[in-house]
Amino acid sequence: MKEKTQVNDIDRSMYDFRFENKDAYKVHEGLTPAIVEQISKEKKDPAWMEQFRLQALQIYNQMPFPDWGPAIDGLQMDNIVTYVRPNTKMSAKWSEVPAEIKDTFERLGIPQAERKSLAGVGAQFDSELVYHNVKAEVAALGVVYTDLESALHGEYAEMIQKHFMKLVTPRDHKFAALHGAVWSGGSFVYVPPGVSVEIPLQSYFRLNAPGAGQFEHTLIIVDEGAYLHFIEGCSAPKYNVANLHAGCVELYVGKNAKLRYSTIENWSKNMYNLNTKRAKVEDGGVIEWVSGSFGSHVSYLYPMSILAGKGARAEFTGITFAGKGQNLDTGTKVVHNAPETSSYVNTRSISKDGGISTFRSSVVVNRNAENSKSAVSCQSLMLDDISRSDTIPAMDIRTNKADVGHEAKIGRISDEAVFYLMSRGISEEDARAMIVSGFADNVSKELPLEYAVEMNNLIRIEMKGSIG
Amino acid sequence: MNINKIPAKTFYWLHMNDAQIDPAAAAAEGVFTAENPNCLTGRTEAASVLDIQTGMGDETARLFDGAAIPVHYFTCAPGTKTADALRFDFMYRDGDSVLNRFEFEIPDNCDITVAMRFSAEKETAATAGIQVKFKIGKASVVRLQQVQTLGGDVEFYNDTGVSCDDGARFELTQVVLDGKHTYIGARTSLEGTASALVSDVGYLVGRDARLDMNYVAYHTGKKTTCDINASGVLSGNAYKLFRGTIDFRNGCAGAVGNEKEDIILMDEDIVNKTIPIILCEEEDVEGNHGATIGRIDEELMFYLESRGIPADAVYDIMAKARINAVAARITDEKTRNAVTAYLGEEPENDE
Repeated sequence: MKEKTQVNDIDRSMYDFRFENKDAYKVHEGLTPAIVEQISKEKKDPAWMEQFRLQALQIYNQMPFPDWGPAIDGLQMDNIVTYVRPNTKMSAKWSEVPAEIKDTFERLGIPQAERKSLAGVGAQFDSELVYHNVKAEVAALGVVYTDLESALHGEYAEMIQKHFMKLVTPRDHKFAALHGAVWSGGSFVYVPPGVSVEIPLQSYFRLNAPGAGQFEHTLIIVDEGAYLHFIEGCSAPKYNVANLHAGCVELYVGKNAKLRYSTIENWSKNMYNLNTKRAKVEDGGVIEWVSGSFGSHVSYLYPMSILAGKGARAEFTGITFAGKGQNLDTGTKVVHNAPETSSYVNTRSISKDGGISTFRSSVVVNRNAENSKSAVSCQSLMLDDISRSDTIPAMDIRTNKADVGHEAKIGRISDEAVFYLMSRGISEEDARAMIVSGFADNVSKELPLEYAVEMNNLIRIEMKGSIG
Repeated sequence: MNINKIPAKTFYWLHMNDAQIDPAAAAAEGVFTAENPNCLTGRTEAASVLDIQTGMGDETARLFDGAAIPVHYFTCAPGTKTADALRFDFMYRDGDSVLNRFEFEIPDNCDITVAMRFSAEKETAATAGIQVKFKIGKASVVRLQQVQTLGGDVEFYNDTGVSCDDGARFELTQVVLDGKHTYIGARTSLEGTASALVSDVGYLVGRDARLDMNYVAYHTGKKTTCDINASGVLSGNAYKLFRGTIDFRNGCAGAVGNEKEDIILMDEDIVNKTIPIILCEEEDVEGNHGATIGRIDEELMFYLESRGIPADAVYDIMAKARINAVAARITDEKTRNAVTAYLGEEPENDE
C-alpha cells in the first residue's frame, strides 16, 4: 500500500487585512420588501428597476434552496446585510479615493497592475464602486467602461434595460432572484464593432464588511468583430460570520467577436460564493472562460455558454483548489443551439486537508446544432485521504450529426514523479508543489503573466506545509 | 415512484437525477422455465432473504414487496464450479403485469453462471419486472448474463444488487434489443479486498422506445476494481439515459475504476443522455471515465463507402458489431444465440 500523505492548511493572512469602515451606510440585516425599496431609493433606480427588484424578491421567496450541491445551512439570510455603501463617491482619480480604501487596493496590487498592464480598472468596495477609470486611448476607440449605475442613468440606459438580467433571469435559480432584488455595483462594458482592445480591462471586488453580501452585476457587450479580455478578481478578509457573494455576469458576444473572461477568485473562507455567469455567443463568435477558484467556504459556480449563432465557439479552462473547510462545487454549462458550434472544456481540481471539490458540468447539443462538436476533459488530484473529489459531468445530445467526447481522471500525485524530482535534489515539498503547479498549467498559461504569477503564488502558499 | 437515483444529484433541469415511474400493481409472478445444472439447490421464500441494495433503489422495495410473489432462493456447496449455466426463460404474454424475484447466495470458491432471457411476441403489451440479488463468497466468480428481446409494447424493470466478498468477481453482461420502456438498475458493492466487477451492456434502442439505466460500483474494499462499459445504437425517436457511478469510499485504497460509453446516433430525433460520475473520498485510487457520442468516424465511413458499402449498410454493420462484441461475453451458448438470431445473422439454436 502506498504511503499516506498528511496535508496541513495554509496561512492566508496576507488577504485578511481589514479596517473598520465606521462611516459606512448600510441597510438592516435580512431581506424584506422595505429593504429592497430602501436599496432602490438609495441607488435612485428608474421605476422599472424598482419594480424589477420587487418582482425578483417575490420569486426569491417562492423558490426552494438547491438540494443538489454543497450544504448552505450556515447561510442565514436574516443575518446578511445586503447593502453597505462605503463613505465615498466613485472617482476616476486614484488620489480621491479615501486613504483606507486606497490602502486596501494598493496592498492587493490593483493600481500597480493598472499602470503596467491594464486598459482600465474598476474597484468595488462592499456594495459600491469606489474607483473607475479607462485609459484615454481606449476610450477614444469608443469603448465604454463604466459602473452599471451610471450607465443605467446615462446614454446607455436603453441598452441596459434591453440586456439586464435577460440572459440570467431571476427565475433561473434562487440566488439569481436574490441578485435581481438587491444587486448593487458592478461594471458595464461596451466594445463597438471591429474594435480590438489589446490590453485587458479589470474589475476587482473587495468585500470588507463582516456579515455582508456583495451583489455586483457585470454586463459586457462585445459588438460584431470586436475583441476584449476582461479580468475579474475578488477577495475578502476572513470573519467569524458568514459573508455572501451572489454576483451576476452577463456577456453578449456579437458576430465574429471574441471575449475572454478571466477570473481569479480568492474569497475568504467564510464566504458563500453563489455566483452566476452566462454568455450568449452569436455567429462565429468566441467566448473563452479562464477560471481559478481558490477561496470561499462554499462555491456554486458554473459559467454557462449559450452558442446561439452558427459557428460559435466556447472554451472553458478552469482550476479549483479546495482546502480545509472548503466545499467548492465548480464547472461549466454549454448549450449548443446552432449549427457547427464547438466547445472545449478543460479543467483541473485539487483537494487537500479535508477540502471537497466537485466538477459539475452539462453539455447540451440541441437538434438544430448539426455538425457541432464538444470535448470535455476533467482531471482531479487528491492530496490526502481526508479530502473528497467528485466529477459529475452530464451530456444531453439531441442530434445524430454531432460529435461529443468526454474524459475524466481522478488520482493522486505519482510517487514515481516525486521520487524522480527528489533524486535530482529537490525537496519533497518543492517536488509536490512543482507537480501541482504543472497540473495547474492549463490555467496559468492562459492568464496574463502577472496573474499567472499570482496564481502560482496562491498554489505555492496552498501547498506550504503539505508534507507532515 | 422514483427509481434509478444517482448517488449525487445534479441540475434538476437536466432531468437525469432519477426516473419517475407509475407501474401497475403486479397481479402475479411471471411465468418462466428453468434449466438447472443440478449443482444449485433452490427453495422459495415469502420475503427477501438477502439484505443487499439494488441499482433501482429503495423505492423498488414498494414494487416488489407489495406483490405477493415468492422469492426464489438458490445456493450451492462451497467450491462448486460448473460450465453449464443455470438458465431462466421468461416469456411475457399480452396483458401481463408480473414480477419475479431471485436471490443467490454463492459460497466461497465457486464458479457459477446464471443466464436469463426475457422475451415476448412483437405485439405484446405488458408490464414486467425482475429483481436479482447475489451474495458472492470469497474467491467466487459469478456471471449474470441477460438478453432482452421484448416486444414493442412491454414496460420492463430489471433490478440487480450484488455484494462481493474478498477476491469475488461479478461479471454482468446485458443485451437490450427491444422493449417499449426499459429501466435497468445494477448496484455492486465491492466490500471484499480485491473483489471485482466487470459490467457490459449493449443496446439497440429504436422507434419511440426508452432505455433508462443506473449502474453503481460501490468500492469499500481495498484493491477493488470495476469496469463499466456501455455500447449502443439509437435510432428513430429513441430516448436513452445512461447513469454510471464509480463510488470510491474512504478505505478502498488501491482501488481502480474505469467506465466507458460508446454510442452511435442513427437518426435526428433521438435523445441521448449520459452522466458518468466518479465520487472519491480516498486518496490512493485511480478512476477514469470516457464517453464518445455521435457518428461513425468520418475516415472509417469514407473507407467503407469507397469499398461500395452504402452508408445505411455501414451503420447496420457497425450496430451489429457493437452488439455482437457484447454478446461475445455471454458464455452460455443458447443465450448468446438468442442475440445473433434476433440480429438475423443465424437461426436460433433451439436444439
